[in-house]
Amino acid sequence: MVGGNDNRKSVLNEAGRFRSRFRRALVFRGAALGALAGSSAAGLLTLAGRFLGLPQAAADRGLLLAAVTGGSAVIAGLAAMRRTPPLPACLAALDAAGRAGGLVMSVGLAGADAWNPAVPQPPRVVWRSPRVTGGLALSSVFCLLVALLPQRLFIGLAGGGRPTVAAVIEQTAARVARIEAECLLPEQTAAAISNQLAEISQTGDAADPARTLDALDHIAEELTRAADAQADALAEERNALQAATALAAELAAHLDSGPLADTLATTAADALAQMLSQSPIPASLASNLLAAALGPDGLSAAGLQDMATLLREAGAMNEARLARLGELQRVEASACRRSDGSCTNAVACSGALARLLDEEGPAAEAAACLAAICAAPGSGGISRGRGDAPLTWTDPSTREHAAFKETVLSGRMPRADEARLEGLSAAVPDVPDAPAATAAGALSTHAAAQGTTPQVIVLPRHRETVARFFEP
Amino acid sequence: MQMHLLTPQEIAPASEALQQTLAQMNRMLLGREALHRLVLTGILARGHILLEGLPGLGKTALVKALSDILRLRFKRVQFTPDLMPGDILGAHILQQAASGARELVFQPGPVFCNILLADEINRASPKTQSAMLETMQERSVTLLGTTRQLPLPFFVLASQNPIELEGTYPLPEAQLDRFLFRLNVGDLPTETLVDILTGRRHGTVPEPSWTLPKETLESCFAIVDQVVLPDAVARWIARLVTATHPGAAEATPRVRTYVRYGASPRAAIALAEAARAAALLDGRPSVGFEDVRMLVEPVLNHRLILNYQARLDHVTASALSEELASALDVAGMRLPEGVEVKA
Repeated sequence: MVGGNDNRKSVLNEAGRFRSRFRRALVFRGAALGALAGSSAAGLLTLAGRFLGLPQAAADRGLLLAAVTGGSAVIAGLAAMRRTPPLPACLAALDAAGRAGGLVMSVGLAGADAWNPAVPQPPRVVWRSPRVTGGLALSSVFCLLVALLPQRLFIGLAGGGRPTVAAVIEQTAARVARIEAECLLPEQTAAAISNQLAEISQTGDAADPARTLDALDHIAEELTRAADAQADALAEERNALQAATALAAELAAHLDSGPLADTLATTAADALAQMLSQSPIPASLASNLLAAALGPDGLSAAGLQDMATLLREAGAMNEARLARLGELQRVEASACRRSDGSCTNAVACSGALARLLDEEGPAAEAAACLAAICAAPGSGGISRGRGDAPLTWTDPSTREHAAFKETVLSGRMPRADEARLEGLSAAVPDVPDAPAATAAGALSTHAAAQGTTPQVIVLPRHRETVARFFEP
Repeated sequence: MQMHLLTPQEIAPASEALQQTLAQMNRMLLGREALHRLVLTGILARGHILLEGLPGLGKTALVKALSDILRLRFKRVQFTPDLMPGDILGAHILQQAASGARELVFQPGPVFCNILLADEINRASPKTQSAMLETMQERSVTLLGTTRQLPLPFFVLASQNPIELEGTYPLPEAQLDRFLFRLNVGDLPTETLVDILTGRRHGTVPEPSWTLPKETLESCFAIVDQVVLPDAVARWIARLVTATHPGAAEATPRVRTYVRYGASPRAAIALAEAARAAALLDGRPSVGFEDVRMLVEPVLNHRLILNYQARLDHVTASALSEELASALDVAGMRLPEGVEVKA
């Protein structure tokens, strides 16, 4: 038995201990709930970011998840501390736990010193919540998956690389419109492609999108081919302009040092005219150049300077058109003349693709995936299914290679409504007037030739079905 | 008002006297220790008690033994359907005085006593049962505009048979609410029966070897009034009674399912008073949660009105009240989900 004051202090100390335990449990619970909410929210945000393709390294993602989760846990834990019970409630809990009959609660009253109740041990405070614990475990797994799975999975899941037929039509139409507006292709070629595209957009069938997509592929191929031809022409024109510019500069240098002899000047003028006429430069440009070079007094240094200026202007225009063709990404790698490293057409130009892989940083992974897909056999583009699927040019067949082969029926076959039942037979139908149908029909027992679609024999158990079909 | 705890010296005489009373009851009536403790608690709380049990279980003997020990005036009324209020309360009768004048003289009924045993109270008509309302609550009788106080202390210890319901009138809720406890007088264990058979010829209850003086009983009543009811306990009692209502925030799901009407504020007052008495009986100057927990069932079991679903599911008010006392956190800390306080 202890003295009254000491007893009161002991009771208050034990109540304080209980209060601390309670607060600890509250903080732990609050932190767990906060971590659950924070990790879920951070996981969802990260997932959304990955679907949107926002550049983010794995370490950054982990840091973001840890920071949001930890921050939420700390804030929720601190907020939970506000629910710590007051001292009278702790005394009541202590009294109830020790079955002290109200003496612990009355420790502050007058006369309490005379009683000196036994100081009870503070009760334990336990927090158990399988739901929160389970949720936290699930959330952690979710965050780990979101942070660590490779980016290509999210690109595939997002479905963004699978445009609709209408979107492809619109994209192609926009490209053709720009080519037409900037006169990058011959007018007739551009008009023909534009007409084809308009026809596809009108006749496109949603029930058979593959057909429309094939037609669009054809247009894109035509566009590429025309752009390639145009690029080749522009490249030859550029070479000719460069040669003419060099010749004009050389002649101008000679004329600066002294006038040429008449015969030599005439020969040089003829040679210049011949070169310009034979070069792939447009005729109008060639005549303008020649007129500028010869002038009213024949070949002169000033005239040649004027011609060089015109040549440089024409060269600049030529370069600009080549660049526009490159920007429209219609130039194949073989036609890409921009060896100065400024080409950005990574789809077609291997040099540009290599630079993209080296320089694009976080996007390199996606670009590598893209390159791998494009390089795989049978690649029809990232929007056309698996890149590694084998190219097949025959009718689609099932896994078991069981398919009926199409057969053109003979024109001499009777119409169905005029047909009459001759009898039922388990044997192969005998149609003497239509040998073609029996030769290659579904009921044929011919073995398939090598490399062709296998044919299926109608098994005896199916013959009943076929017979019922022809019953009146 | 500044509360203070009674000293051990102030508590001890009353506590010892009550323990002695309890010992006498246990000596006179075998095998009913818990019941005796509750009855004495009810007497200390100055409440009326409804004893429920089959015939022959010693209800009347208990009341008679109590009156013998407490040396209180004891009256017994066998309630029957033809019992009239005047048979209990008393009546005015015409008498001729010495002067020859005739006047109405009040003849007190059996209710003018200290302990009234209302045997088989549910056999009386509602009119007669209602006549008990004023006596139980006000401890007075009003006849012809004249109110007469009953002698103090006044207790009604009623009994009723829970199985023979034919020809009975169930007690109205207003009267049930006036009983502090409804106590179930159960069967005795075999060993106790053997003791009764071997030790008592014809089951005769022995005379008390010690009696409680009336002054001591009155001092016990005074001390009960000074037993401290801590705020936390008072709050728990209030929450308990509130939680018996199906629409209360702290009502348990089973209360919401099975209870039609919860307990009244009179139940809370009764619980607090009885808890004070229980604390004194235990020799303490303050009420603890365990005192209340022990009394929740006898105080609330006749105050909860259950619905038909409860009858179909065989759910009793006793079970519901005990579940409620277990479910309700004593400290009122509003424990968050999943947090438990374990002693």
